[in-house]
Amino acid sequence: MAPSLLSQLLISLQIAAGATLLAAAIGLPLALSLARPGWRGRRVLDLLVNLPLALPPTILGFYLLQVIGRSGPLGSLSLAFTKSAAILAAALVGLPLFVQAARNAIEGIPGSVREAAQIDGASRLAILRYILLPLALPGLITGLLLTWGRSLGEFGATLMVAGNIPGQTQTLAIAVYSAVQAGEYNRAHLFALLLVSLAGLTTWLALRWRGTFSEEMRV
Amino acid sequence: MRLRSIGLLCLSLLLIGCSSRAPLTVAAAASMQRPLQAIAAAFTKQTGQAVTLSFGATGTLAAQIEQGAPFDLFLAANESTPKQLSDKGLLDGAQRYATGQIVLAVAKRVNLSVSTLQDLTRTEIKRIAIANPDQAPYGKAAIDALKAAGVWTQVQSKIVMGENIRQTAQFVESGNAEVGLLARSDADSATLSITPIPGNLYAPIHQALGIIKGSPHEAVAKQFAQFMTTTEAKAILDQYGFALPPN
Repeated sequence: MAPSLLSQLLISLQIAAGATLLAAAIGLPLALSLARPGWRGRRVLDLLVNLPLALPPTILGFYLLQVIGRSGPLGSLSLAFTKSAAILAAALVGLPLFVQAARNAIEGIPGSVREAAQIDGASRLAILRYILLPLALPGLITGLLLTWGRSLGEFGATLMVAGNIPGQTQTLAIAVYSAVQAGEYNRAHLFALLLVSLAGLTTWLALRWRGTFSEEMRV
Repeated sequence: MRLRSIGLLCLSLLLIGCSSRAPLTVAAAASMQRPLQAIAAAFTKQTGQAVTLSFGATGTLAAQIEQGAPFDLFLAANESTPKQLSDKGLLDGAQRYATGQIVLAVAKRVNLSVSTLQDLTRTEIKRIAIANPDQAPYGKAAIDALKAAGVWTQVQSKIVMGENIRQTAQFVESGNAEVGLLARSDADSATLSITPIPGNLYAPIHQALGIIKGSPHEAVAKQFAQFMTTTEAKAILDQYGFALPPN
């Protein structure tokens, strides 16, 4: 029962898509709060969000496994060794990338724009919906792209929390590792080429999409 | 959403493609990849039972088993890890299934003639690759052999360590290290000149397996563990450079 290339490809896409969505869902509120200056605990939150950048993914995965594994505090959810675990790991690793990009974009919006909307009586939700998000959109897309690319290539943390189970959690990135371990370099090259093409193609498409938004902005 | 349904469709196609019985999931040390793929294929051919192989570092797999990984059988690259898991009540005993050996390997492209451990003290040999002894039993065996041969103090400064036995082999294959002390199973005779290292210079590298306690496929797992002792499996292990465990 050799796992087909198709299954590895699909697993990679599913995990990367899930992780990107999850990182964006958690990251957007985080970026909005971090972009607002002067509140207690902002530095600490900043530090925590960026921690996954500094930690080697294997170590991050090891601790995540202690949390979601059988004997961990979230063990009862039975997340470990499933695609959900892989999504969680990839989202955690990609989160700082999304938050940084989103935060920069939000901080780049002049305060006067927001103030003008406030004076005109716009609610906070309306400011978010009609001012902040549209103006920050190119930056948000950059954040999504970075997270997507990072998730596709995610390896260390995923291997730890989701295992290397063909047909279930074996992504393309993990398949490259497995092939190298077996000394099957030709197979490793094939997987790597596929992974790079996939990342390249999706990034190119997204950049084109982002480009259209940036042009609209300039007009 | 659409992606998900495509995924689900493919998953169900995959499941339909499998035999009606759930596959046996075997977690094994990465160094066992080639022989185990052949052994699993032979097992499936004989019994009709599908086998899923999950490879990783022995230590990583052990950490995953402690956290409830859905494995049925664990084949380690050493004997101590299965024993520890067995002591913790996570594994049902530790049965030896193979014994690793170390060899002296030189990349053919380097064009050096090295036939004994004493040759390693020569000045034209700048780097000697071994696996990290803290993680890989083959690395520990390499240091033991160098000490037993009486050359350790002279060659110590030339040692470079690979994270695992495969990476160590790559150091030598690429010519970045002139010489390496590698696992016989990992030394490719197409690119490397290989000399055996006498077995009395280091403690044998026994590898053990164990059935995961609480596995829903315990009977099949036992059957596979049994299969590892058949002449068919032993022939494959031998072909890939593993000595057979003493009975």
